[in-house]
Amino acid sequence: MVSKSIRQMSEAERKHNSLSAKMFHTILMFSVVLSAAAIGFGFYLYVRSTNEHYSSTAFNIASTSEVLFTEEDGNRYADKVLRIYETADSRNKADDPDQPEYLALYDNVESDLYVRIRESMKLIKEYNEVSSIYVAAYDTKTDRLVYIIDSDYGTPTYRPPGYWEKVSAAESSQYNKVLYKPFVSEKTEKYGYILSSWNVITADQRYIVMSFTDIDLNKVAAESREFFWQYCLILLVLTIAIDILIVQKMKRNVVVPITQLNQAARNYIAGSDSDLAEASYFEDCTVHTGDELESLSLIFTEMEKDIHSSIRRIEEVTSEKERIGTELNIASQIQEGMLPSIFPPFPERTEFDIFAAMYTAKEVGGDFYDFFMIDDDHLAMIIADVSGKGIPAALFMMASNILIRNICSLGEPDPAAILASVNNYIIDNNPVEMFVTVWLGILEISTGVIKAANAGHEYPCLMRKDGHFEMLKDKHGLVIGGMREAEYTSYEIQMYPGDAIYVYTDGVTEATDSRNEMFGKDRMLAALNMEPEECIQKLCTNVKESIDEFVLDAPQFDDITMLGLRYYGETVNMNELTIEASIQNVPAVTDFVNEKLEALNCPAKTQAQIDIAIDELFSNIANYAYMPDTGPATVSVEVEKDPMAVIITFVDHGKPYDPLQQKDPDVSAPPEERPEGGLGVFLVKQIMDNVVYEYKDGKNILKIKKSFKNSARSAAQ
Amino acid sequence: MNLEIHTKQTEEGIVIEPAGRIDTSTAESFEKAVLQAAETSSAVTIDLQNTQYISSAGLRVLLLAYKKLSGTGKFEVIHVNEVIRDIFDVTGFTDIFMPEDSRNGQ
Repeated sequence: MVSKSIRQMSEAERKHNSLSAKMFHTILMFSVVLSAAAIGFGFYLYVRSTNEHYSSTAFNIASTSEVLFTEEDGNRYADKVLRIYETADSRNKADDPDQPEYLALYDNVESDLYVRIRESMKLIKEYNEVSSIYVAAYDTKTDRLVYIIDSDYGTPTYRPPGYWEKVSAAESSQYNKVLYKPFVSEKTEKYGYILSSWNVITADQRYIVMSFTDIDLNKVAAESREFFWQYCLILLVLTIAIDILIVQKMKRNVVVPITQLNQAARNYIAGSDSDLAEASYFEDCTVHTGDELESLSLIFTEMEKDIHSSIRRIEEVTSEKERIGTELNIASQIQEGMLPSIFPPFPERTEFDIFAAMYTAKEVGGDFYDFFMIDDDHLAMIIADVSGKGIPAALFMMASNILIRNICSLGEPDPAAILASVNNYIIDNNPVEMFVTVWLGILEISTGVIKAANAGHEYPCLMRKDGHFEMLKDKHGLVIGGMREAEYTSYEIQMYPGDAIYVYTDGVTEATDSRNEMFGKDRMLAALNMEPEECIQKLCTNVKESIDEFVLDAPQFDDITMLGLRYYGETVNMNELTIEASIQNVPAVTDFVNEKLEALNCPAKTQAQIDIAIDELFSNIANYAYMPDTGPATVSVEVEKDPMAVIITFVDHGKPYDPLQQKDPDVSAPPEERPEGGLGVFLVKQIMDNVVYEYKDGKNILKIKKSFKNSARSAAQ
Repeated sequence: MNLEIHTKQTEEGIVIEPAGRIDTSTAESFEKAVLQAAETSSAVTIDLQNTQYISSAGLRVLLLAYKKLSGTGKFEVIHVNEVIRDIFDVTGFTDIFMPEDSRNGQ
């Protein structure tokens, strides 16, 4: 079945199928059938009564003429005619009734009395307006009707005595049965429709003498036709009048109320389409029929009210939901604000690299990570997972996070003690019996030792330099919030430069795909070990991408949280070279500086000038600073941008000596008077932009600065 | 080694071609080669076309050689690159070692 919406129903369709049109059609059809039946039945009755009337009339007249015939001694004439007929017939002279010779045989039959009887019969005929009255004998031997006396005398249909007519089989059977029933002849060419009635006067072996009365039915038929048409006309007018009355009454009582309801319903739909809520369409529609329609209208009104109140309720609920959504959003922002999210968080710390991320399943999550410097040498790392989800978990998470952070900040160095302390706080203030799993590690940056404790949290993953990530099956304590006075055990992990540690929540391992399969520890380790030497942020990203690839579009049920740290230890400054101050080490120093300069696309000429300056200054230190012994000197390179410049610092802790105090040589003196030495520092001052000396903390510090425009290093070498 | 020294005898005297850097660490071998040439020939030419730069230690050698030969013989420096020319300029050696270039105002 094709479902159809009221909105798809066209105006024309609606008009064509309207209720009043349907009703009109039905009533019309019904009245046509009814009228046809009435016409048929009425006409039948009419014809029957007409027939009966004429039959009895004919019979009565026939009886009357019989009496007249008998009284007046008509039988004499009958005998006389029949005798003549019989004689003529036996001589075969009666074969043609129209022969004048034959008819002349009966000439002496017509006596005065005979004429009187005939005239009397004629009077009866005229009086009763019948077409013919006559007496005839039925000759059973020859099936002939032999006329004896006919009232039609003087008209073309007159039959003289002795004239005979052949009787049809149907007529003869009627006569033989001697039934006193009017007989309607077939339509004959001679007479048309004729109703005949007869009375037997006498009957012997051969002849049945009967008095006949014929009524011309053609006239009757014309009357019947007239009656039929009148009857039809009257019936038609009556039917139409009744139809109109019925239609109007039905319209008033049924169609109009239904149309009103229909219109109200359509207005309602139009109103709800155009957001005109709260208009009461059914209440305004007035149906007072007192029947089911009125009750239907009242039901609709009630339903409309119900719908309005439902809509109001839904609106309230929706706005409430929106409000909660907004608040959740803010809560989520607050929560995000709690977690450090700027990476790298400690750009000045080169000893380690840390990264953490949380991907929440709902707006607010129950997982959290945190890390912060407790002091200059200690970094705290926390990852935790609160039982449950949503707002309660988020609230609990905030409380736990702040507690752990605060207790760490108080200077307690032992993670187990911190967790125990947090546990006791939470146990005392935990009416809803929530708990949180925590892994807490405190890295001592200078030594690389992580002191950690695990309160029911997942195993950390540890990677040694050049190795792979592996699960570290550490010692688990009870979850925080589980039991009063729960005890936790601290353990130590010695991190060496290049080692890395990765902690996570069960959202990682229990991320589920559409077939309900879990991501699992093996896939997590595989993701970590794809590029184990990469920076820690890349490792975390690898795990997340691997999860995403695995889960595809299955919904995320739990927060996914992870934290990773790679330890580098105390690193040598890449821009600094400490070396024994000796002439032999001059190339090493220039090579070290040149490497930096090449990376900066320093022009060849500038690089040559800087090399000269290094040669002069470093050889000075080598020759004089620790004389007669030797000692270390540190050369460092700094780069300034806009404009591009390098600052090279020479530091030694030899005898205090300011080379800038040297007197400049007289460069315009004749060559013979010039000393061979003492040019170095002068030269440096000439080719560098700036040369500064200071003596500080027992160190000679000499800085030279040279700016340049970096150029693509073509084949300058 | 940052410096290779090629010495060749020509009709006009000895030509020394130091290739690389003449700095504190290489000045000693350069000095040796130059002084040796000054001993054996009265005309010494220093061809610096393959020399990247000269520091003060190298300048000292050049001045020493000039002093040795200026009275009796001939000493000149040729094919000076931009860096070395700058150094000669700021230290006043352009006039001494490269009188031709100086006059030409190059």
